[in-house]
Amino acid sequence: MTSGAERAGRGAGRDYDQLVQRSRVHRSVYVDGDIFAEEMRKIFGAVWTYLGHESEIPEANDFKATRLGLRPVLLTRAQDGSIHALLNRCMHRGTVVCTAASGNARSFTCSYHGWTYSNTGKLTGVPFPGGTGPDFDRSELSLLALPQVESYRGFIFGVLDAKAPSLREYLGPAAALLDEWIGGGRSRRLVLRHGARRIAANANWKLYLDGAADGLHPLFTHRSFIELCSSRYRPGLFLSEFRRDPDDSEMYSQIMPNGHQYLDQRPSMTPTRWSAARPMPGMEHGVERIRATHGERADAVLEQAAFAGMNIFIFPNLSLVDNNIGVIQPVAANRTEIHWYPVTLSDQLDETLALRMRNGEDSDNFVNVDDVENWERAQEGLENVPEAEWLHTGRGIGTSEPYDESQGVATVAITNEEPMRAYQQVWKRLMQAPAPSLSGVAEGSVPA
Amino acid sequence: MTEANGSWATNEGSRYVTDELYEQLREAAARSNTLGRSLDAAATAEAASLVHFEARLLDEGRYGEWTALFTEDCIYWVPITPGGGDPRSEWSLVFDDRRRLLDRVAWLEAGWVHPRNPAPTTCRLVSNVEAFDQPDGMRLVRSNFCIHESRRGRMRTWVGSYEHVLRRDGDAWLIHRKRAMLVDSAEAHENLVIIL
Repeated sequence: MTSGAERAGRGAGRDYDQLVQRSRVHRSVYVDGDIFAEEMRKIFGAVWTYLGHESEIPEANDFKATRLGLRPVLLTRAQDGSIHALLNRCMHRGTVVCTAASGNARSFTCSYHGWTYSNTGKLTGVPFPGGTGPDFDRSELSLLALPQVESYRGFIFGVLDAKAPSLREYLGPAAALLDEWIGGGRSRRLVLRHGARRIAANANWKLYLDGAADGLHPLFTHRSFIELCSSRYRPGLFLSEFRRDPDDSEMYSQIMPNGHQYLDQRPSMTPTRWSAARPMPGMEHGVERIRATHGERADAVLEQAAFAGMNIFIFPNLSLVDNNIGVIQPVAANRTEIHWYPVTLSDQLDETLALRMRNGEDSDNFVNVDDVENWERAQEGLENVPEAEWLHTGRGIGTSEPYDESQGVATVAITNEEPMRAYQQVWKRLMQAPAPSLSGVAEGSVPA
Repeated sequence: MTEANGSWATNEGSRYVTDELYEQLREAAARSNTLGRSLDAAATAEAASLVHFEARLLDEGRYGEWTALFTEDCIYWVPITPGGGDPRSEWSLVFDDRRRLLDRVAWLEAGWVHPRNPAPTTCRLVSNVEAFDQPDGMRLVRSNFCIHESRRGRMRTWVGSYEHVLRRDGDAWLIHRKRAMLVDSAEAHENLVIIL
């Protein structure tokens, strides 16, 4: 027996209206390798996708290796300061040109046959050019480059579609949330120079998205952390608010156009965000020093080490949680990496720096591991029970209006699954559209 | 806020993690590739006895006895930056003072950690043990580790080297600092819910 949905999930030309419905999603969306391959072309790069942060490539000729979906990308800052996103694939035989994670280089030379490209992608040299022949035209063999690369408050995004609306338009109301997350006015910048914690989960990348504004899971998924806080410390620490019905709290979720989501946790972190911080190494030493130095301003200073309390998700791959930037990196239908970058503020006071690092590690050590385990358990169930075809995504239907992008921002209770349903509609729209192509748009590119 | 955050059910607070301590850790990590020949066989055997005992306690889940091997002002550190880097300004995979180390033990013993239900079992091989005297009377022990972790039919491996700094406590040595340096510390890892 094969159901309509099972048939709809096979082969080319899938019926995504059938696979993604208002209160349920078909398991193939999470487990099917062909759908995953299609996502890597139709989601990542079809819309503005996060590539890196300006503070990671601060100097002329700095570069960083990143990915656009699965595509290896070199994010470079040229001599003139301009930022480029080059597909890291030699135009000769397809070799990945640069294998360094980051560095400073004016040019990149392929290790296979020595083709050399400038950090803007131009093919500047081939060995023994006398033998290339009369038809060989270097100008046609630049590295493929993303036709649009823009940044907002230091966050660099790229898109394959030369005609895509601006990044600012894509971010929409989420831009103001990024401003608020950074805080401190327009002159403040984020700094990503504190290492990166990379985690791997044997689960589909969208399980992360499903949890981006999910206020129901903490009490159950994060019970180990909540119990640790209450058994060894006191009530009122981070996540303790989720013990009671979270919809009765002052916390709320917001849905925005283009799949962006937000959960405001700050109402549970009172009287200050720092007051909800779990004990961390060096805490009392640091607090006493800050109180002695800053007097009445100490509470405000300590907020620089506290979690932001604003969980912002920018579709498809950027997540701001606690004090960290999370980048969702799909690897396979059942494998995902999350790259967590601790960030500091350009006006971070030195005495708050170590506290901010130690505070952030706490979530990585005692919170995120329970998320990963539950994503992996979900993947295991979805992959291995073909008879149970659907994930239920209907919580909250009837308690709020179905989200419509023309609304702009919609606010819902934090256990409502409407944010998930909303991004799934964006996902479906992209999967039903043709894959973006670079041909004819990138300067110096060749037909695909 | 000092009132709210100032009294702990379990201890008097964390005051020894200072800029000075961070600087000591950073310097020690930066120096660690400059060691020469180890002490004699007797000193090496004494060091090996301790790190092997520690490994066995962890494999057997005897966390109370394990924490008793550490000084009151201990550090258990698993850097992300290869070798160590600067823990004051960088994240670590683990950076525990004694309080967070006790938190970690309480957390994994309480039974609520989903990736420890069921709990993994581990088998540690600790080898290449070498011992060195430190100018301050401490003893530095270098070794390599290979930890196999089995859970629900899957095997994972954690490989790297340890640096233990031991402090004399009467007739015995206690672990003052322990640094576990994974060979793939900066790469992606699946859930780390065991003590390395």
